[in-house]
Amino acid sequence: MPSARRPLSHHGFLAGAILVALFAGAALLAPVLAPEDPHAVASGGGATLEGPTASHPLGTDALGRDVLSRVLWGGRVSLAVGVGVEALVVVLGCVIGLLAGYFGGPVDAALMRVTDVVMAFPSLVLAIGLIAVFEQPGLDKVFIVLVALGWTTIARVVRGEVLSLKTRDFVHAARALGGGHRAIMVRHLLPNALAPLLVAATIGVGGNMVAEAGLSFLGLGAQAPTISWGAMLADGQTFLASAPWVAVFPGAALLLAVLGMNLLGDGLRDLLDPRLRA
Amino acid sequence: MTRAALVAALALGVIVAGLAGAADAAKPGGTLRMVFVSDPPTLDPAHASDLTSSAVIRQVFDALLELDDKLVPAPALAERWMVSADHRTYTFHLRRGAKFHNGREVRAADVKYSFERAARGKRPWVFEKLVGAPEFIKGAAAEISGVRVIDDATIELRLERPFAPFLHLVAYDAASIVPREEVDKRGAGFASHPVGTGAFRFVSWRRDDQVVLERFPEHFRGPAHLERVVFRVIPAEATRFNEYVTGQLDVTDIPTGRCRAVQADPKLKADVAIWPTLGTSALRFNVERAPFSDVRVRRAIAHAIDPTIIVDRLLEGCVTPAPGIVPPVLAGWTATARRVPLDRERARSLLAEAGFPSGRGLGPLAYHFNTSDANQRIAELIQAQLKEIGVTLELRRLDWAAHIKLVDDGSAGFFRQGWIADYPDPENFLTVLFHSRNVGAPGNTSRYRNPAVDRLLDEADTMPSGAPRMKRYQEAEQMILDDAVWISLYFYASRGLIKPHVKGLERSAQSTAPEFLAPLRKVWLER
Amino acid sequence: MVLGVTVLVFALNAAALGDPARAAMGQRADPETLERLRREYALDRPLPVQYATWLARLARADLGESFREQRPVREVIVERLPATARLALAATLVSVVFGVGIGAIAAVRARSTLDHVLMGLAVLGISTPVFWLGLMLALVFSVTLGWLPVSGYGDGALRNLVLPAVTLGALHTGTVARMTRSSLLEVVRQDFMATARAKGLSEWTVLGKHALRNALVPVVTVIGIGLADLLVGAPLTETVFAWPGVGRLLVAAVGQRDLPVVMGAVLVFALVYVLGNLLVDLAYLVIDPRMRDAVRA
Repeated sequence: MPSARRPLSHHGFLAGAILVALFAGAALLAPVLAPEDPHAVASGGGATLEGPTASHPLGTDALGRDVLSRVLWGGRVSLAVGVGVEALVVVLGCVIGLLAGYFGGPVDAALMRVTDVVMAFPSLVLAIGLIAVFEQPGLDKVFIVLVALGWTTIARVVRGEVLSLKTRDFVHAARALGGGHRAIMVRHLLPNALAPLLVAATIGVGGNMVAEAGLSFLGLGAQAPTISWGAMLADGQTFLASAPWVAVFPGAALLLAVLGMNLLGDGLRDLLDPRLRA
Repeated sequence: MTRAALVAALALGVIVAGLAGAADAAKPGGTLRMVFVSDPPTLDPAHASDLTSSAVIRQVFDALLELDDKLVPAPALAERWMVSADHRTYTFHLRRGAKFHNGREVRAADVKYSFERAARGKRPWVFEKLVGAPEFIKGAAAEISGVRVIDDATIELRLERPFAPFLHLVAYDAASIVPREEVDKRGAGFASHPVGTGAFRFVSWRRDDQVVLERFPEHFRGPAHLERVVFRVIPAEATRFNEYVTGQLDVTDIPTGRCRAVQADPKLKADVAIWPTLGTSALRFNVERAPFSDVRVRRAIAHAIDPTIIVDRLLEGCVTPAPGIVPPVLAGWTATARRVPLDRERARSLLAEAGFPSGRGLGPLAYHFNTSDANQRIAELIQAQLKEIGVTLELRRLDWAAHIKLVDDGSAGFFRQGWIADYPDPENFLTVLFHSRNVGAPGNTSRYRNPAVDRLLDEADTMPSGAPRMKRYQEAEQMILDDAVWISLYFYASRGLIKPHVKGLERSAQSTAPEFLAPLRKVWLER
Repeated sequence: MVLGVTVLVFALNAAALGDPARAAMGQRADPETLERLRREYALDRPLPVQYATWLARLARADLGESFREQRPVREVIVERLPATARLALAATLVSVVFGVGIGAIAAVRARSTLDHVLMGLAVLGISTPVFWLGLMLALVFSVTLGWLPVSGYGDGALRNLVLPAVTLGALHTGTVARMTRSSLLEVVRQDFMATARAKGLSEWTVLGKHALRNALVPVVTVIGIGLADLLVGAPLTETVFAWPGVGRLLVAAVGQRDLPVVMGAVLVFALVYVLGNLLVDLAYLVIDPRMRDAVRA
């Protein structure tokens, strides 16, 4: 499917890129685009839990705040958490997965034991523990929790790929030609593990955004007045039946942004795949 | 027929219909299906410390007395009692022939055993007014000397000093009567398989799923109407609501944010049951922590907070704004207290006087609250209201265990706290929450020490009930509010849905929710 | 590794704010009772001693006693384990059957509209909050249609299990589907597939016989990881459906600072996790003989 190599003719990639660009743009321009102060509480006659109207296109929440403005501002936090955390997670996961898979033996055993400990560790307990250590929940703690718990999936995927790849001929050949460990890992193993890595990483970005919502649910996420889709979703859930717009719009934003990231990731894989290029 | 006659006939008709209803009322049989938010930790009256456990314990056990629907102490296992002239000695005469679920008759010795056992449980404060109780609780005495068995059917309780609400303590579920032989036989297992004298006996309990009780045919008042009672445990409020709507529950709570919606829903509005209860939600300051040690800062914040918006917007008018600390629904209480009024100008000038003009120099202030959707919204609203006078709030949301720790040990300076009366008396609000002897975990988390308030409370606590006693409490209440150590937000209300076929479920001010405290022996089902 | 987890949990719990004795009391507490409870719970001893005591008891297969329920932790957990096991296995079944199925179909019709729709659904599955999905399923199938119970364990009947299992499984179905699709496509491009195709085998045969087997490696990894996820991630599903499982127990125990129960429940999760991984490693050997050397090394 040669057409898939050109970015603009790959529909999935295109759709993903547009969605992501849209959300990134909206997040960046939130201060300009938001029609109202997202923190402005309705006072006096202001309407709370009001359905979409001309003045509040996405309605208002329980405190009478404009949902559209909050969705725009909230996107900044959610996207920053999704992408920022994943960048750290990929670096950490790749290093650990490569080392474990490539060297095998005691290195692998030791690293995988650590991975196991982290994976088997109930995130809830960690969340509570972190509240204890820091006392004040906030976005920085969200980063710490998500990175601390998130790298294991990438590490396992990379390791699995490497285990399978390193028995292949091209790796033997590279080694026979005198390639150093680092060269083999970075030049031969990593690029070949790229496709599943990309898939895992894109799932990861979306996953991080969803996880941020989950942490907000536990009260560990961004604290008011910081706005995040997760916190809005948690708040709106109460009104799902009576005032669905409070939860549906941040939920839809989250869903579309995650969808965009995933389409983008799938597209990227098709475009970058070395075997397609060859 | 004249108009008057018609009215009279109609009225008579209504009365006759009412009488007929009463006569053929109370159909026996059927299963009442109630629901809890969480599993009861225990079914042992000595070890319970929460409303969920008490709700089951009330049905399985009896105490010497119980509270009627007006919250007046009424006979239960004791059929009558006498109070000495100095209000310090109470003599209870037990009902003859009251039996435990194992068939044995209740004797006065069971009362002494039960009280001493529970005094070393989770709610020792129920017994601490008895002579010799503090020593016994500490382990320095072998018995509570103030509890004396006169004969098999008579028991005498002596108090260190007079205490007007004492009969309420005797009616409390911590003072339930338990059979010693069953406790000895089952050990810790008694908490999972309770045996009492109650109108319902224990059948089964699958943790986190359901507790099942059945009618005890030999109950001293005669068998209850209901055949069985099932308490299901359903943590998600939306799920409880769905179960109710599909007819799987007879009673449930109104989901957060749906109080107006259910009252407007043609299918549900007849089921809505909202009534005021004995509880107050408030914001508190720890007066030992700067800047809250300055009464001007506290008053400035109180002047800036408008509880009516919280009640109207967030609680949908289903509770009432609280001007004072003690809820007006308390029998014999006249609410006279006035909260610090909403006045942003005054708030700004007080802040300036305290050295923080427009909030400058104050820095962000931490506000602590325990995790819940409603608390979160209230916190955000307060954050917005204080912003208007230049005060920045930093929200500290923690789970209950962490929140209560910081509140108790004095680390929190400004925090949310609600209070639900253990028994209907102002002492349970004012003395417990503000007397200097109760600083910290016992109740005075404001760490408020005001000798004038202490004196008024001490006097009132030992006075016989009546207007002079109430007057002292009212005076103390106003002093506390003026010192702004406590900002009342609203009085609690029980907000529930009850199927129309459920009859006789009492709506007392003590039942903070329909599933709590109401005596189910009076309930019957119209089918 | 299991012990490593318990040390971490113990340390975190010990550092966590909140006093188990205070959490066991109601709205008020008096200092004497608190002190007595702390003594009863052995919280007055130094932390290393507390942990050593816990380990010594563990050696005798004794998990200690729950602060909250005042009975052996073993009982507390064992009576909830069957509910959790049923839910986790049923959810795994749901995610494997639907995940691999959807992934395979999407791979065969790669880049078609069907593929896009299926992958869109997979993303939807991954990003739908469990709480919301559970409520919606209950609204449709229980409240509106009345086919299934809203919640509860019932007598352990299958009809009570359906909605919780689908809800919990949905989360993972998306991940498994995406992984299956991408691995299949990866394998399809490799040389031996071309050979198989050159032999004139049909696309489904090629996929089923050769590709699927090779593509299963990452899929099995994801499923193995998923099992642990399902166990630990179950609390929300258990909450929505009032399912009396260990996940809800763990949440409640953390909230109550019921340390012995937290330790016990985490220990059980860790053991299940180790077991799951062992199965994954064994599955590797069966699926991909080339990996025998790698795993053995």
